[in-house]
Amino acid sequence: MNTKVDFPTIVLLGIIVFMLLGAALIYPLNHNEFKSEVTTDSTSIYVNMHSSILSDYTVCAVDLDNNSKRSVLFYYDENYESMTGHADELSMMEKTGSHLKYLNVEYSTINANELKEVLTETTTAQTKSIVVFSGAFPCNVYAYDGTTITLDLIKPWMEAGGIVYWWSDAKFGHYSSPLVSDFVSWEDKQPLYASATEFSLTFDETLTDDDESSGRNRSNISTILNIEQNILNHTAVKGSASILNLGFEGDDGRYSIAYAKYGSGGTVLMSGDFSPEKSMAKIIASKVCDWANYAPSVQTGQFKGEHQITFDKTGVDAVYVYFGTLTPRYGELFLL
Amino acid sequence: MALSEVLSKTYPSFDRYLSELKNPVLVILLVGTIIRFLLLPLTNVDSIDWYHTAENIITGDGLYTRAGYYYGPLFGYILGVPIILATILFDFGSFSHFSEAMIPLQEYFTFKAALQTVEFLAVFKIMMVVGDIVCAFVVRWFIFYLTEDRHKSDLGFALVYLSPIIFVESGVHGMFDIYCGILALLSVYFAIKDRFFLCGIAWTTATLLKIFPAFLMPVLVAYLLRKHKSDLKSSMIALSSAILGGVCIFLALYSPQIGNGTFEESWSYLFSRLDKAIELAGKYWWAAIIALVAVIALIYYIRKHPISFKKKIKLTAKQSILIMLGIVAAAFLGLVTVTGGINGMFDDLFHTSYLVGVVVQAFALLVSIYLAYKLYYSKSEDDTKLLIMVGTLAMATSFLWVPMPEYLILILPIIAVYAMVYDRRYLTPYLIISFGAAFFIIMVEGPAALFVSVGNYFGIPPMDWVVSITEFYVGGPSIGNYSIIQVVFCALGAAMQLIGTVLLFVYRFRPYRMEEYRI
Repeated sequence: MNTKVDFPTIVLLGIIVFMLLGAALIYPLNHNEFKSEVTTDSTSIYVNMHSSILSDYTVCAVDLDNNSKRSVLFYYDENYESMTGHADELSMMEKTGSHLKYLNVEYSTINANELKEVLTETTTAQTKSIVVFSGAFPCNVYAYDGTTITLDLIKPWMEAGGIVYWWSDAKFGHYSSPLVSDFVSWEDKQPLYASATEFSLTFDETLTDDDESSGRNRSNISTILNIEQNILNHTAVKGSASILNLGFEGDDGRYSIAYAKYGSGGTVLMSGDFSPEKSMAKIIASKVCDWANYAPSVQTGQFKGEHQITFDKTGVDAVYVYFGTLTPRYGELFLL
Repeated sequence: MALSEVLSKTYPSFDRYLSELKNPVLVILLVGTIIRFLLLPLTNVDSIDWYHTAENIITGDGLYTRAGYYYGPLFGYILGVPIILATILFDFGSFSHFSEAMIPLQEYFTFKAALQTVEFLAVFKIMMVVGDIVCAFVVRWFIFYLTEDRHKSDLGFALVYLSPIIFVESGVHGMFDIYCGILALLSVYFAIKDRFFLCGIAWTTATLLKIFPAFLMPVLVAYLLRKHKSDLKSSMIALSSAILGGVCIFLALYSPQIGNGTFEESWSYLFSRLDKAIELAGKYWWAAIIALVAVIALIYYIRKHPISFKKKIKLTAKQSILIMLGIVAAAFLGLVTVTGGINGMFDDLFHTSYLVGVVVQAFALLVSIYLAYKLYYSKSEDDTKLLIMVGTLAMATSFLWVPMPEYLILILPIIAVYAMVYDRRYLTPYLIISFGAAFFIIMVEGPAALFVSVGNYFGIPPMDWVVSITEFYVGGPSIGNYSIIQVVFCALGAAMQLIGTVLLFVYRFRPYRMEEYRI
C-alpha cells in the first residue's frame, strides 16, 4: 500500500482532525455554565450570576398576585381529535419543552382523563397552568350540543386562578374535541364553541391565513422578556382595556400575544407562527400572568464570569433572571 | 458572437496577465482574501439558522438540543471551533438581537426581525474563508501534479479563489459547500493514487456534509474495479479498504450523536426532505406514471433504433442551447400544470423545488450508474482523465434543475482541474456557473438586504435606506410569494447556472474544433 504523506493527505487529515476537534469542543470538552442564585437580607435582594461566556442578561424584581409555584402541564391525548394535528402538536411540545429546560421549568404531559382531574380540583388551580397545543379541549372537560354548553370545567378552573396557555394556529375559541373514533369534520358536523367574547376578545373576520402581518408596536413586557413573536395572522385578537398585550400590537389594535384575565386566572393566546415556542417558554417561565404590575424593576447588561446586582426588597415577591437575547441560555424564577 | 467565443477570447489574456505577475499566488491570495473580509459583515436570511446553531453549540448539550440546526453534524463541527474559541478568548457571546426596523420586511420573503451581530457573522464565516484558501491550494497542487506546469496550476488557483460564487458563499452566505468540493476532489485523487482507504474517508466525509457527492460513488467503484480488473483479490482488498475507511470515519464523526441519543435527529434534515418527496409523489402519482411510461417508451425506442451520438448527432452550440431551453420550457410548463398554475407553483416554491429535485436526483443516480458502467468498459488509456471527466458529469447530473447556487460549488474545483489539465473549453461553463450562481444567490433577497446587519448595528448604510430598497425589491407586484423583479433576476441567474451545467455535457460530446483548446 502506498502510504506517502503528500499534500492531499495532509489536507484530508487536517479537515478530519478539525472536525473531530469541533466534535470534542461541542460535546465532551464543552463546560460552559450559566447559573445564578438569589440571597436576601432585611433590605436588599442580591442576585449572583455566573456565565462562562459573555452573555446579555435581564433581571426583573417583581411583585406577584399569586406567589405560589405553578406546575406546568402539557395536554396531549391521541385518543381525542386535534385541530392542530397530533404530529404538529408533538413537534410544538418538543420545541417549547426544549426551551423550558434552559429556563429551569419542569413540565409534565397529561392526557384527557388527567386533565379532567386537574380541572375538577379548583382548590389547586393557583398552583397549576395548562398548555394546550391541540386547539381544542377534549369533550370530557368541555362539550357543546349545538345550542348550549353542556359541560365546562375550564372557566370555573380559570376563575379559581388557573392559567391556560393556548397556542393556536386556527381561529381562537375553546373547541370541544371528540374522540378520534367519533370525529367527522371540524367544519360543520362537530360541536364547536368559540367563547372569545367572554374574554372580551373579538376577531378580525377579514384576516385570512395568507394575510401575514406583523405587529409593529412593541409592548414594554415583550421588551423586558425578549419576546419576538409579532405575527398577527391566525388567531390575532383585538385588544380591549381588559386584555394585556404581551407581544406586539398591530395598526388595527390586535395583539400578537394576548393575556385575557378571567377571575383569578385567565388565558394566554399565542398567535402566528414565527418562533412562538421561544416566546411561549419565556412567558411561562417568567410567570408574567401572575405579576401584580407590569412595570417591574429591571436591570440589563452584559457580563462574563461572575456578576452581582442588587435590588431593593420592598414590594418584591420574586426575581426573574434571564441570560441570552432571543434564544434563552439560562433563566430562572426565584420566589422569595 | 457566441458567449463561449467571447469568453474563449479572454482566456489567453488571463494567461498573459497572470504570467506578468511576479508572485501570482500571493497577489491572488491577497486580493481574494481582502474581498472576503470586506464581505464578512454582510448577511443572508439563512444566518438566523447559524445563530440558532451557535446557541445550541454553546449550551454544551449538542447540536440538536433545540430546533434550528438542519444539517448533519459535520458542518456544526466546522462552525463550532471558531464559535467556541472566540467565546473563550474574546468578549464574544452576543450573537443576535431583535431589530424593530426589520418588522416591515417580515411580511415579505423569509425575512426575520432577529438580526445577527456583525462579530457573529465574521466569526461563523471565518472557516468558510479558510476552506476557500485550502481548496484553491489543493486545486493548484493537483494541477501541478498532473501537468508539472506552474503557470497552469497558478491559473487554477486563481479560478477557484476568485470565483464569484465561491467568495459570495463563504464571505456573504456562510455556506460550507467548499468542503464538499475539496473532499470530492480528494476522493478522486486518492482513487487515482490507488489509496482507497483514504478515498473512502474523503468520499464518506463529503457525502455526510451534503448528499450530492453520493453520485460519485458508482464511478469511484467502477474505477477501482477497472484498475484491478485482472486481479479479483486486489480489487476486493481495495474495495474493503474503501468501505473500512468510510465506516471508520462515519463512526468517529457520529460518535457524539450515537452516544447522546440524537442520532435520529441528525438525519432529520435528509428524511424530512424525503418525507416531503413521498408526500408529493402521492399527490402527483399520475404525473409520475406518465413520466415512467415515457421513459420506458424512450428506452424501447432507443433499443430498436440505436443512436450513435458521435455519428448522428451533430449540433451547433446555438442548436444545443435551443434544445436546452426547450427542455427547460417543457419542464416549466409541466410544473405549472401539476402545481395548478403559475401562482400555485411560486406560492409553494420549496415544494415545487423538492418535486423537481427528487426527480432529478433519481435520474442522476441512474445516469451515475450508467456512467460508471461506461467507465469500466471504456477503451480510453488515460484513466485519470476518464475518472475526472466521468466523475464531474456524474455529480453535475444531479444539478440539472434549479439547485441552490451553493450546491454547484461541489463541482467547481474538479471542473477547474479538468479545464486546466485537459480541455480549456471547460473554462466557459466554469465561468458561467461562477457568475450565474453568484448573481442568483444575491438576487434571491436583493443586494440591499445583504446590508441589514451592518445597517442595523453600525448605521452604514442607514437602516431606513436598506429597508426601503429591500422593500422595493421584494414588495412589488408579485407571482405567488415572490415579486416579479425577484423572479426575473433569479430566473436569469438560474438559467446561467443551468446553461453552464449543461455545457459540461455538450463539450463532452462535441469534438475539439479549435486545436488551441486541446492541451
